[in-house]
Amino acid sequence: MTKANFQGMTKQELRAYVLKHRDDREAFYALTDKLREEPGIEITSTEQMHELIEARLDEADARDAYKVLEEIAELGTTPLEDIKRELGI
Amino acid sequence: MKPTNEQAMELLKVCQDLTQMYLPIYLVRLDERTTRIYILAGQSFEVEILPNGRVKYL
Repeated sequence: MTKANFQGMTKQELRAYVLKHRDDREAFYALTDKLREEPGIEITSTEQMHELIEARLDEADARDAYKVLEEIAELGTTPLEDIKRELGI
Repeated sequence: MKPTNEQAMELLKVCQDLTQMYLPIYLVRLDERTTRIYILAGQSFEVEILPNGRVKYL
């Protein structure tokens, strides 16, 4: 079997690969190496961690909601801009 | 290889915080090369715990 090209994978792909191949040390190392390229945020309190997670969850919700809006706009004849105006966003 | 005491204490706290927020924890692993603990929770919440007990959210 040929080895997967970890360097060429996105972080999301690598994460999914590591979850499926938990004994693959090389894949896990490639993932943590990738993480070290990012600055990250130092956590100093539980409250701070809660705030960061809430913010990230809200972002994901907003992204999902926007995607649904776009899909609806594609289905109907109402342009996305009109739907947005109606919803006040 | 074992985590340091500071790391182990922080690991417990972080896991507690994550599950408190209903986030499933999919992976907890010690990187033997850097001795950092890696945690993956939810879809994309990654946390690293350094040997000195400092916590990094990625």
